Amino acid sequence: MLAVREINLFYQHQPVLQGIDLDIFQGEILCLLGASGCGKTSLLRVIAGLEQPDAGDVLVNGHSVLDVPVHARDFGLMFQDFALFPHLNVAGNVTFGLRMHGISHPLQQERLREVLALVGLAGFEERDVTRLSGGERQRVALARSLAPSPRLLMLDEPLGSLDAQLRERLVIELRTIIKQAGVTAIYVTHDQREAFAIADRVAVMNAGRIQQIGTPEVIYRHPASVFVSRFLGLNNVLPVMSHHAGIVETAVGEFAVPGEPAAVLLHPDSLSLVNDTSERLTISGVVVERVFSGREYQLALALVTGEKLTFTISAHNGTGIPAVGDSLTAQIDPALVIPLADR
Amino acid sequence: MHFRRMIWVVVIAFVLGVPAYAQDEPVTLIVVTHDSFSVTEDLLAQFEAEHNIVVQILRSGDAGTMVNQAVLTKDNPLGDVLYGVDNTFLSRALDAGLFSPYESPLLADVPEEFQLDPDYRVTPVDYGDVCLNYDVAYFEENDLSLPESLLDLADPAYKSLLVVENPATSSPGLAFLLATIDQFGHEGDYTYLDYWRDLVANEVYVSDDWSDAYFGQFTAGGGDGTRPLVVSYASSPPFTVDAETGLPSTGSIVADGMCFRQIEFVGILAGTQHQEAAQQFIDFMLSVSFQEDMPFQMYVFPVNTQAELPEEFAQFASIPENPVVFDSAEIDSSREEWIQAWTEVVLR
Amino acid sequence: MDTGVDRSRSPLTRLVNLRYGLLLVPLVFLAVFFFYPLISILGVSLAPEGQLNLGAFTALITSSYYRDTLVFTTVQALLSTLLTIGLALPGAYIFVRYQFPGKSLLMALATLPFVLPTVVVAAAFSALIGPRGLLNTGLMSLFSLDTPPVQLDRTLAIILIVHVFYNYAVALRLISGYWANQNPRMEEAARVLGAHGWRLWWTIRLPLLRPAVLAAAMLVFIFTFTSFGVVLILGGPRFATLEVEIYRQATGLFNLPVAGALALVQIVFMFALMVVYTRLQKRITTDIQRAEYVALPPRSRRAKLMIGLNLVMMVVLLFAPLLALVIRSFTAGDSGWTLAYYQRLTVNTRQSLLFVPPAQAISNSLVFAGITTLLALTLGLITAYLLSRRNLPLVRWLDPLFMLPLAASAVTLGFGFIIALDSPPLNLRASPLLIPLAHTLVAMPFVVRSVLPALRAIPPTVQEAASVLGASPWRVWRWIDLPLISRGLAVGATFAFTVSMGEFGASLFVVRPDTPTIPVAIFRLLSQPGAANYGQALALSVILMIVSAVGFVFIERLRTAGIGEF
Repeated sequence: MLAVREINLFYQHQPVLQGIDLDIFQGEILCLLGASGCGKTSLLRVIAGLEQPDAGDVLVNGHSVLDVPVHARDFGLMFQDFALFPHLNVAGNVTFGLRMHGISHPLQQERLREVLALVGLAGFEERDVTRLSGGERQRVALARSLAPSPRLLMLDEPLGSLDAQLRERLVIELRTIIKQAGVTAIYVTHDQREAFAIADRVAVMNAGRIQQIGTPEVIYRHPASVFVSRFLGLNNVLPVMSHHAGIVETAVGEFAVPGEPAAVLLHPDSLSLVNDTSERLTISGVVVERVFSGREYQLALALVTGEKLTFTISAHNGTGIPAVGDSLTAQIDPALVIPLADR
Repeated sequence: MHFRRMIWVVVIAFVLGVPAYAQDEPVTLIVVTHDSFSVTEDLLAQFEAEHNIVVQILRSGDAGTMVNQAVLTKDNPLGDVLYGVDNTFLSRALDAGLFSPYESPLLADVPEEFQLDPDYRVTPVDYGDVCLNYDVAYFEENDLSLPESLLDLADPAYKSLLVVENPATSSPGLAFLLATIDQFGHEGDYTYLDYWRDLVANEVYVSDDWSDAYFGQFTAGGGDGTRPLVVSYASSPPFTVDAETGLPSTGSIVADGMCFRQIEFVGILAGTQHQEAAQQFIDFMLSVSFQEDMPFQMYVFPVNTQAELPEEFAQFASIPENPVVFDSAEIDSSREEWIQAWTEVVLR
Repeated sequence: MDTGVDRSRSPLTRLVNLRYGLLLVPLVFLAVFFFYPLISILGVSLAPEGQLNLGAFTALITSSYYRDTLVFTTVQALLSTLLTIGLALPGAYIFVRYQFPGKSLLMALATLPFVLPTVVVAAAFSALIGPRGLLNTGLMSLFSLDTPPVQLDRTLAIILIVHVFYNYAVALRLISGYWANQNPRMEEAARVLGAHGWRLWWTIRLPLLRPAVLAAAMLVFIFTFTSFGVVLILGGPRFATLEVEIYRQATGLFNLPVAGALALVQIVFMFALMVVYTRLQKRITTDIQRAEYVALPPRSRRAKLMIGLNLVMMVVLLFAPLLALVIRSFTAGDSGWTLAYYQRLTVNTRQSLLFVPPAQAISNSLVFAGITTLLALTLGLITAYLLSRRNLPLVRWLDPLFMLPLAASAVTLGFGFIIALDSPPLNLRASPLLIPLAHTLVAMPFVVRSVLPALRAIPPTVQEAASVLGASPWRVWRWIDLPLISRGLAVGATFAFTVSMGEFGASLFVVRPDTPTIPVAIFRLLSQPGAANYGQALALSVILMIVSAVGFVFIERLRTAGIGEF
């Protein structure tokens, strides 16, 4: 539906976006995930038309929209600080876009009721937006963006200014509302849990470039680079010292992985406690941390070679969980040893 | 012992010195006047030294504002002497009882015609004639003869050439209106209002103040004006003398009935503590040296017949032979009515 | 909350009391130097024999002339205000949005008209668009016309143009100062939702700028409503505002009852308007997010075009007359380029007592302007503090009260001074101090209006945080409040300085010993015939502009050096 091609953007001679390529399909929620300052908000602004890129193109259904001004792009954008209009009440804010599009008054009222019901604010029409709670403001902002039925809805850290508890609850709700509205959406966040919860696909960004695009599962199971891996909190990254014929050598040992990766990730789920020395991928070390979180344990191992790796073990394993101080020799599932590029 | 002697010296010095010093303390004489008052600095300093008086000048806007302020403060006057009330405001000032009488011996040299108050509450100091000024070059280049009477101004030959001031806001404007009232009267077939209707038909331009009329509308004022005839003073032309040619770029028209004479007076404000110093100041203003100093300081003519005019004045400032002189009481009682009637005809 | 401690003796309470005592200072100032003289003169005018004489009011009500005057005054003020705000809004837009060379210089230049005497401004406009001005002679030779095609003299149009010329900077400074502190996301949200062009202005920008636009509109309206010189000289006798009529009645016709009644009508009218204004103002409470616009160099061709158009407008409207003035000061009298007028300024050819050496006029002006700025800043700051305390019961009435001096007619107040301040300990009617005091009355509302929005926007938590960290109230003020309001303070100081440098009406109507300021010296030169005096008056006006511009720059430096940018 939307295609972003080779976008470059400079801000006071500093590159902000470099060669961004991106496709968004009808009806999906795509999440731009990255640390603050990585360029994800700038990309949103370019797509919305609030910034003109220095190079590249933005296409909707194959047609460039670069020359279409912001107000005519028929997109929705929800800001991190919501940017509600303080001089208008809830109804005035929500129907603003409808008025701008010349929708008749009765239709406006109908749509107003519809979207307010959708975001769970039925009956809030006459409320003063400056007197709403944070969560209520967020819903008004969402309703305002949804009301004109945009071709594309963009959300810039929509939960960023809310507290953690509220966030967890709202993110699920948000996905339900967006899916119900049937709108294509781009969602910007720096929080991977939020991203995984809401997105159909995730694009991880760093320093103005897209590092990896894929479903949350693919991103989590198969991070493509050292950066993505570490950004997702997958820190068992071992630099590759040498490789030949599909075998790479690391400080911990040798693994069979395809290609010529710069590093490999030992996925946290890759540890198996079954002691079978016939397997080639064996590691040994001392348990230095053991954290129980209900369904699973987190074990931190200090290897004899000096590295510290963290793994999760399902709690179903029951009694065989080693304690802190125990020595441990265990197998690594070769399917969960992920080659990582250097970027 | 030394110490006690020193105390005595100090005490004696005080006893002797302080009263002696007090006797020499100069009297501070406050002269209330309008913004155009001026005098050569040395001349005033000489007067101050001679009479052991310190003159403090208080200015307060134009003559109208000043007289009004004086009337409002007559129970607690602003100063000792008031200078600058003219014959258009005189009767209001006199009726308010602002002044205490003083007959200066120097009045002997002042013609009777200037002495408007028989009770000597005010003393005439100077006079000036409100007359038309013209742009010499314009009239030469266009081969146009000068208007010789007020009626000429209504002649199509002078269409769009004249600028006058609004009598409600400008003192020369009022003076010119009074000259027309004097000539045409307010009764009969052709009153002053009929005359003004003709002036309006002849596209007279009305400015609200003299500065705008002279500098903004007059062709020879230095600004970008378009009219070669302006109501100003007979004393103005000497100020337009060109440094190279030695000739003025403007002249004044002093034909009979075309000028209105403004006489300015000084008076001692009733209630002053410095009667003697105030009288000395009035004598000073009538003295030949002050009278000869006035023309170039205040653009007015001396009332003292002994005073000689500066050369440029004698040469380029004409004095009308028969200026319009108006009764001050009549001006005061009818001013508002005349101005209102004029406003209706000219401005509406 | 009752803590059981006797709070009346605690040092904190004493400090609070001291603070409230301090707040009385501007009130007392206003009472002594404004209301007391005003009521005195109104009393004398309206009840000359101690008995209220309503004759004057009957005359006003029954006369269609005064009704027309009031209507004209209101209509021209309304049109002037709309025009000024309408032109200043796009100006403020480009000043907030874009970075372009010469921006701060433009802002300083835009403020200069404020200090110029009307006669001089009239001369400047006449040199430009008068019958013999640049535009007309140019058009006439271009199209070989016999009569000047542009004839604005004595029209409502010229009054409006000059009112915009004078007041543009007031609107520009107030609106752009407020706008720069606004959240830019609000406007972007509206654009994404489909708003653009005039609808963006109408539905979002204007409503969000309402406090600043209202404040600017109010000040411009007051100025043009009480306009004196512009209407008197450029409008000609056919046009009269109430202020002009008061002057005519008071000094020309000695009709104090009517002048007093008119002055009262003017004040009551203005007061009613200001009450409405403060109500409108208070309805907006923006505790919504704060962010700031970052001015960027223009990127699109449209932005460049807009900046260009605006600059052309500012040049034509504001700088062309100023430039014409400068050129005329070197060329007046058709004698080619000459420095003669500047040289003659310093020569007292006739040893006249009236003579004012330019250096003396400059130093007088600067001393008065300095005193005025300090007084207005001090009193205005205290007043703003008073007004920023919303819980104080009388604030709704106090706010418009402090604006009132702007609305009082100068001649009335001048008369009021001499009859009210006539005995010890307040025997000030002939004191040179009266001039800065009168200027302060006019300057104070500017300081209040510039500082109050900034003060109201300081979240109390910031001050509380500082107190918790151990800052005394004084230090909270010095290190928290002062830096946060420094921008507003600088705007207020600039206006106070400007008001005093250029103010002339009030100086004209108070009695004063010989302490001529630059405008008074200009006025004296213009009251003497001869082209030489005219040229010198223009030269001195140029000097006035230069001294004022240096003053603006100095104030701006003082702020950034002494208080620090936030």
